[in-house]
Amino acid sequence: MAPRASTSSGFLPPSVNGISPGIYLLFPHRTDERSTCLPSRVFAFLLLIVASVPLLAQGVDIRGVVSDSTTGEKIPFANIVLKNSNKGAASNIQGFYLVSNVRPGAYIVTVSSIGYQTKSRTINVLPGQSVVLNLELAPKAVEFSEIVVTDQAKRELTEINTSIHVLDQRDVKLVPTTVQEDIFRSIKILPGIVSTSDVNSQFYVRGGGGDQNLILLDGMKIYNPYHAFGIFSIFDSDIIKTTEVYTGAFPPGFGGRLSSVVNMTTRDGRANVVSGKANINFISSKLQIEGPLIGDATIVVSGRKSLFSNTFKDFLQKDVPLSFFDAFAKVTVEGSAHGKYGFQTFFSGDDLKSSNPEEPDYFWRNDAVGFTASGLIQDRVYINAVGFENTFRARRDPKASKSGSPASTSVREVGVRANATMYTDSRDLYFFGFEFSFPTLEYNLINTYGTPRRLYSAFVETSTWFRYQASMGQLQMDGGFHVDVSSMFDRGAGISVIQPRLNVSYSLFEEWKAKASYGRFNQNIITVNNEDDVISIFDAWIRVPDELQPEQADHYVVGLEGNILPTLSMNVQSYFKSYGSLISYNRDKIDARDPDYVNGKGESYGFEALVRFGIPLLDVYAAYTLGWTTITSDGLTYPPRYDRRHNVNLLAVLHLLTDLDVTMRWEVGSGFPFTQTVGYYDRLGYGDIFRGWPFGETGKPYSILGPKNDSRLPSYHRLDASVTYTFTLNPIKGNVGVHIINVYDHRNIFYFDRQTGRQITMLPFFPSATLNLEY
Amino acid sequence: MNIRALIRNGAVGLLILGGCDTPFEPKGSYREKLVVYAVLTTRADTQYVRVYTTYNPTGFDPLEVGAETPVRNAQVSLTTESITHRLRDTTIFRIDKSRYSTELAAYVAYPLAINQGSRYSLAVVSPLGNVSAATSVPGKGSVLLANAYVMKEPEKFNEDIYIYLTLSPLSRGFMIRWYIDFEIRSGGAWSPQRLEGPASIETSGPNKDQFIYPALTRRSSETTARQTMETFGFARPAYRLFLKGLKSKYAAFEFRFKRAVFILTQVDVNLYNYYNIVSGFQDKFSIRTDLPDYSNIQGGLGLFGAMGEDTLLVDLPEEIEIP
Repeated sequence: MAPRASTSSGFLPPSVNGISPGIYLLFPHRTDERSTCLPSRVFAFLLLIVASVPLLAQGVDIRGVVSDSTTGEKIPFANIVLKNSNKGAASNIQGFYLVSNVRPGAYIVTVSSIGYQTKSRTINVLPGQSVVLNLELAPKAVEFSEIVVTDQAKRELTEINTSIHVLDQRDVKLVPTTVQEDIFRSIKILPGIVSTSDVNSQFYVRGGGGDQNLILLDGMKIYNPYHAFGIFSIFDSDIIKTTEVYTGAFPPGFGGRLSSVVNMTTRDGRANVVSGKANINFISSKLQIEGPLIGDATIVVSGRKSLFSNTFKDFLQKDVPLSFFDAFAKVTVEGSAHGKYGFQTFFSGDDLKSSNPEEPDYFWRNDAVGFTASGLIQDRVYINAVGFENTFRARRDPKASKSGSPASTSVREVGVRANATMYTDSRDLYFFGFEFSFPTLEYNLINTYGTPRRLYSAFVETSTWFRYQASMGQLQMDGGFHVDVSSMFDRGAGISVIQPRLNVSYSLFEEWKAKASYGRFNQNIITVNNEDDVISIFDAWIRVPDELQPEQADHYVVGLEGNILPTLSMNVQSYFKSYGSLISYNRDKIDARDPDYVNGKGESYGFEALVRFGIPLLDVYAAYTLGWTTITSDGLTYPPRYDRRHNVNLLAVLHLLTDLDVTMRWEVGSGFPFTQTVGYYDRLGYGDIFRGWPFGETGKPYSILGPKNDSRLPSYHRLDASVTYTFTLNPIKGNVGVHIINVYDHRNIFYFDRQTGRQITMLPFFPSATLNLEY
Repeated sequence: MNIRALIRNGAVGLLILGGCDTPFEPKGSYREKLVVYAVLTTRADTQYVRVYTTYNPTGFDPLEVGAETPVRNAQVSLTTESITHRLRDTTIFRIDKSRYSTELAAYVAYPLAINQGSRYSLAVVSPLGNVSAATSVPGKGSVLLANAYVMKEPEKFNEDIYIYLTLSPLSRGFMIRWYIDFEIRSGGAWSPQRLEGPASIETSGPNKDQFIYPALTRRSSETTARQTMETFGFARPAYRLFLKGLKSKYAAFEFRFKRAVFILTQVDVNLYNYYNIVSGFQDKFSIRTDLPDYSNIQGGLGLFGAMGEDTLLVDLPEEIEIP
């Protein structure tokens, strides 16, 4: 299908779909009118300034949307080049691009993107008339080598930032399946990311805690996005179009977390035909339907439901009566002139109901609804906006269990965020935006004293940001500020809430770039659990107590990347994270007058290397991380339980036949910290000392522990393999896969039970199969 | 290297690495330590010190160690103001024999009245090692009942019962309890009885309307330079309900009140810390789930603490009217 070109000038109406970064600041227990108004005023002021900038332009702009010719899906990160000029641009996450200040004349516009046939189009630019050029690309068979080595489209995005990784659906599918595809399992192959177990999708980024990761789905914040103890994420990988993972020094617009951002963008429904997809695997089944709705509207609906809870028994080596479901629906409406509106809803649930009265029951629910809009509001100002509401609830019913107590937790948040991108005459870009959200956190429990406790906080988080991207010869920079407005007023944090962020990139020679990044981040809400728990299945979110400083970290990253050979690329980075404030246990706590938590400090540093190799027969992805993490609290310095010294991920894909791929993934990690038991003694409780005769008491056995986390669990290694055969039986396309987890059945230790001495191991050798059908 | 060779060598490498296992030792090297428990008290003129060793079962279940590990033949001494008291072996009645059937081995000093306000050092010398510890017994405190008339005529006054306490600078925490002494006549003879009175009544939650009894409380001032004053209130409704219940319970007997006894217990910092930590911080606001440990025994484990008691007696009328 030929690209369509038209000319227009002047104001273009607002359009659609938005996700944008944000940091979250808070006004606990009250809404401050001053602060509520401030970002709006700033935003309006900036809009006023930038709206006048295009008046200075000498040429005209070429703009449009790049989309898939078969599905209508917008294509992000496509490269648009005006061949006979030095002009070009990359499409944004909505597929929109703008090439500014093009002098009148004839041009050949070439657009390319991974997985699509490159398309060229000749256009004639007339003086004073902007050109709207919507481009449709036809898909083509994808060579893995193209993705890993000559991924220019993604490099366009990553060329300034040091620590960003972009995964699309193909990347996710390349990682061998652990019974079912999972976004979070796929991102664990990235350097800097570790997981403490096979059965937990929770991840730790460059020494950061599990609650320091910002999870965004179409701009909606998602809390505890895990199914089944964290075995899988709650996101069906088929609904995710693109996943941006920032492992450090993320740019302004993302905030409220210290360590990483996982920014997922969902797909739109197909615009031209109704299609369906079905999947069945050893745990669940899935059904997805999509297609045009009415007029310019499309819809995609997807649902998953667990079927075979017996599989969990093999996973966890324990009878786990778990069931889960999740569902997603999205309606997208194309507006005029690059505008797009979306309404999406998402919900998931997990029930762990044991027939054993001495086993606690658990319930988790997660739902979100959002409205997105994106488009041009001025010739060169592109807006992404999202309004959302999300709710996370979890409950523990101990029944007759002696070890658990009743507890429930919930997070409910209503918010809106908007980000504007301003295009300039050059390729420089300005970004600015704001976010308001109103989180309500509640945690109910019976504490160890036997007292019911309710921690409730409702507050406002407000943030605003400004960001500037520029090129100066061989130097490129992306910098700005993220301002935690709420903390400025509510916690009296002053200018410390202004968080500078800077990424610079310097082209050394043709294919090599040196990069450096710095960023400051803070976090006002945290999860509470026993920091020494091997796996936490009940994470409760609380606001950082008023008497403590919010968590805060500075990231420093330097890196070097480029192509050693046309088929071999390399990216090395070194990072240092200084945690100026971490919330940690108060080890000097004696009684109610002492707080449960205090501000500690920490640091992590390390080195990462990513090598990608691709030839027609074989593609290899190898990531290595060397890292150190320590936390210091009350004079005690120790490595947290997720500190891993070495981590290697090796992914190899053999393209044996056109339709047959063999994939292997091998992960090796050095052991996690562990505190040894160095003996026992009988400890007296002196329960009757004030009212009775305490001297005849018999003590109870108590473990004597060695230095905290001073020892290490055995190293971890596991090989997974998949064979996938793709077939077409018109009109049905599909694939069948055979997957083997832990090919050589290595018994990786999950945890050690101090009470019994039993070593619980992680996933054993476990074959599974999947069948995907699509029409 | 061609691809096949690469794959072959890679596979061989994986298999070799797959067979490699880092040794895992969940138990660190065990070093036997002495465990000492002693709480000096002014309540009696007998002081006990219990001395044990840690133990290391072959497996991971400490209950597989069926015999206690007391340390006999140790030299245990308490020293205060240059006077050293050598303790001797003794045996204490064990309250709960479900785990160990033997009586408790201990060291005893008798008669040894503890001096309030004095510092004591404990030394244990044994073939298994030497440990030491020190504590300061809180100095004498005082108890003053501000409104005794409420206790005597609770129906006439609508105020709580207030106690003023003077605490030693050496105390970290205190507990003020009150008991009622009364007599009942059964078979012609008066029989003395004593019951602890409540501090207040639970007003909500699952334990609504249940009596709340005083608990160990941290001294409001951290200063060790001077005595401090504390005020404590016993709720009149709780007092009234308590008396009513008492009279109801003994309605079948001839009954007379004798006195109220207020007992102030002051504890040193070691006992205070140990008691709270072992009891889960005694913090009804805490959301922590960990259970840390505490010891002030140099070179070993356990507790060497102290507590002192002061008493106030308040005579009560034989009959107190409670409609």
